[in-house]
Amino acid sequence: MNPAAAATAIGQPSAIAMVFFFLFIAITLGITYWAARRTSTTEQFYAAGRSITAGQNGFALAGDYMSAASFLGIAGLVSTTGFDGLIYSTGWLVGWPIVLFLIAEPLRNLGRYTFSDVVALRFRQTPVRIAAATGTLATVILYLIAQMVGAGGLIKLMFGLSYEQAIVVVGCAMIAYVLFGGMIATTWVQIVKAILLLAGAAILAVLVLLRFDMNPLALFAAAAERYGAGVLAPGKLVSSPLDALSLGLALMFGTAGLPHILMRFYTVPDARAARLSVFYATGLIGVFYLMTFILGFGAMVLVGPDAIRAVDAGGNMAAPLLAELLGGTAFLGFIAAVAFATILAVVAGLTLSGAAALSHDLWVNVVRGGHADAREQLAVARIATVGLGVVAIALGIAFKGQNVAFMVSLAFAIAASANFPALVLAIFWRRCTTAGAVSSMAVGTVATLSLIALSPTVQVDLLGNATAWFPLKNPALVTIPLSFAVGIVVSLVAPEQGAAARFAALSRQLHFGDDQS
Amino acid sequence: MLRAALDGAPSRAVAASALTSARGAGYPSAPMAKPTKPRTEHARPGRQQGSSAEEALEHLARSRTRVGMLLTLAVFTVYFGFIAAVAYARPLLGSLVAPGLSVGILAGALVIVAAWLLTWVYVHWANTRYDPALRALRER
Repeated sequence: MNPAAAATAIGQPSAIAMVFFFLFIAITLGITYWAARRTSTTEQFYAAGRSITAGQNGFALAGDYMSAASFLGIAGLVSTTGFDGLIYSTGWLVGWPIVLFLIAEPLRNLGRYTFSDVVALRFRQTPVRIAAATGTLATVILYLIAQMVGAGGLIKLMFGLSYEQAIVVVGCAMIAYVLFGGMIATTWVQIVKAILLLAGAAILAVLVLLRFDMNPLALFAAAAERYGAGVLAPGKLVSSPLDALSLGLALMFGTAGLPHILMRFYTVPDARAARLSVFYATGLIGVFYLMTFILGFGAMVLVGPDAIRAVDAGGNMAAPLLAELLGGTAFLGFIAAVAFATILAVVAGLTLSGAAALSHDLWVNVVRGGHADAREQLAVARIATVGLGVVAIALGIAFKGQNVAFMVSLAFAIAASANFPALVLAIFWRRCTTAGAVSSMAVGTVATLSLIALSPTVQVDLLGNATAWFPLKNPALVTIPLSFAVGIVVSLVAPEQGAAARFAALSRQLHFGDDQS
Repeated sequence: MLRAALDGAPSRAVAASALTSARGAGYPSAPMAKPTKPRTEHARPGRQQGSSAEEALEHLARSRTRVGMLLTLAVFTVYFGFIAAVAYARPLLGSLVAPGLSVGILAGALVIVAAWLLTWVYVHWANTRYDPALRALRER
């Protein structure tokens, strides 16, 4: 029934996986060395000197976004439940059009390094910077914890390294990329990772389809024949429509508030390139999710759900098991290394955006009131990078063994409720004020964190209580409208003279851009 | 709409109504804007060029916002339509279109394809309408 279960090399220290992995590390450190010599200004450190092309940024955006969780997690979910995995795939994708329609171009034209630049443009700097940096750091740290803990567990399973060793290796490599190579190195690490991940998934999908006359429908039919027609229909995932709606809102609008994604739009020369890069990224990510669906069904039919659960109860090893079955230990090693590289690239992007919030928003614009010379800015950015890297390693080890999967959707909820509304109000609404934007961000952050703490995710799943005070697993359904409402009401109650007048200037810059860059 | 933006010089009545509507909407600086407004009206013949360019930019800004919001609404409808179907029309999504292909799988894949096509629609609009209009404005 499950031929792969006994024979799997997963969990054994794998020489081939190690070789592939160290090859990736060597290549990316080489890129970092090359990038380091091109990283001497803050514009190069944070924004790659605005030299990234639309196509490159499309791959880098895809690289930043396609996490190991979506590769292994969705393939695993499909392999054990069938259709339901597709619900996740669609949710992870639909945020990208929103990024394009509302955020990407204004962001490129209005800001320099962080999304706070855009919100702070026509309001008072200090309160806006503090609120926006808080939202950024909350998002980044939650996302980092989830990625680090995932990395530790994954590497333990795949390479046989200890959890702590794995965290330290990931942490040190990521610090090296960002510290020395800044955004140039981070961008190229993302591009290499995106190509490897897409290629790995594509090869695996073709290997699966070769067994079914290159016809996905034959694959689905085989799954239905063996495990019942239920695998092609909605299962238990969407048992509560309100929960599904709330998670959907968080994914859809959270993508447009993720600091490490938003920061990427500053790396391209102009708004047109920003626009095209989202189009490319959406296509790449869409194709990737369609391929993970094939991989999931392939694993269900060829490996079998029981064999997959036997290796990892969460189903996360479906894609690696499939790789081993179809391509042998060597291909398993390649896929394992790709999954590791994936995590490494995502945490590098997160760390850079967190460091930008600490140094550019908080240090340069709040503490130093915008008066810090280039050398000081760069030095602070690098100190912030190391600090954040060490914090990420510490948190990764502190959260060992905890169920942190919910932290990714929590990060999306904060991004959607704290960052996205303020950004939209600042860009599109003439009458928004400093107090409105700040209260929207503050309420968004605090309400999201509080409601998550009171939700079934924490109260029932984590703490083992019988019931939770707040019924929804993800609070976005409440917190996004709340954050918009607070921003609008506060702006209307206390109008601000200068802010409205500056909107005209903002409107001009939104379309024409800053002619200097 | 965009034609109007490109033509650049709509009637003075449109300009005046745009100004009054901005004030009527309770623009915070309305009391301050009051004395300056007649002055700009009087100065218009001399500043025809600049003033209509500003108007054209405002038109363009409004059409860009409208396109962005409409497409956002489209993605919203497609995705939450799919989620609603998953929640409330399970038997339908489970029914087969072809051997191996359920309505649900087809719909899910179409959501992904539709999201991408909508980004293409926006890019196409921006490249063929918005950018040229912007270029025309910049050249003034």
